[in-house]
Amino acid sequence: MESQIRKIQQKYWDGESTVQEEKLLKEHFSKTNDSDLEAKYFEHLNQKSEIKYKQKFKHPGKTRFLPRWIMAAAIMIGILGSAYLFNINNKQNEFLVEDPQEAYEITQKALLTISAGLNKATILADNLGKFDTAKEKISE
Amino acid sequence: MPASEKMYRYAFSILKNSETAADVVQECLMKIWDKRSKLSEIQNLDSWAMRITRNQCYDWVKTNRFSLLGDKELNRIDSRNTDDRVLVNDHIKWINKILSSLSEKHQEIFHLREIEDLPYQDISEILGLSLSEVKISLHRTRTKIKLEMTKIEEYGIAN
Repeated sequence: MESQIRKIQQKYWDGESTVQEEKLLKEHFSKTNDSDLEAKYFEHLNQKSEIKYKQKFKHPGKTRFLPRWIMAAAIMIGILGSAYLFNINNKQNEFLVEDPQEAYEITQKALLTISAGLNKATILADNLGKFDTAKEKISE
Repeated sequence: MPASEKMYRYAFSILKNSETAADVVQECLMKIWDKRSKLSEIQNLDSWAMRITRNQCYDWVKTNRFSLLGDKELNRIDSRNTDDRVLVNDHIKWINKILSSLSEKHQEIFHLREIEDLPYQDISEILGLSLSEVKISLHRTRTKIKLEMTKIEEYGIAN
């Protein structure tokens, strides 16, 4: 066995060993208590090849789904939000007039208010026109 | 996935940070999952997964290079201040010192062969190098290590 290991070691340093032979070297020196540098080197390589992350990686298919409590919270928010919007809609409907005659009278009142304001503006404009005419006569 | 351990060690060898390596591997697993319908078309799944890991690591490095720069600066300062006299029984330090003096490409080849036990063909696929480039690189690295070992055994120090 020892001679076989020596041969494989030589092949290793010459770059002629196979993957299986190199694995054999590492396993051999990880079990022995050789203190020479070469043994320590192969032991170190073996240790490095056994390193694992401290936790398990999550299965990618399972990470896409939301936890149940988040889904339940989203549904509750959806229900509450819908109820709130429904409530607002009802309040806006308070201003709707269903009777056509009543709707006509309200519209007429609104238009009269606007036209009264327009009349005042017309009178004011006429007076300004008279002032301008007088001013021109004086300047002549 | 059984390959996730290999992917983690590979990512760790590039990124030098356990949590970052784990995050990158988790992202790679998501990418692989997204392409699960095409897995049957892939000849060598392990090599393919390792190539994704490598690309994802270097994408992370590009995005976060400024945060890594501080770490690299520290490493350079450390190597300048390190005494060249290495105790004979300080095995891990001298191995890591030799490996850190290599280019990233040579370090990756070393890791993929010596730690992950990948054949030359797989390594050449992952890194996009020719078979001869991989073999030559590995042989040179081993020769360097052997030379340092001989110096330590003869003189008790490593330069």
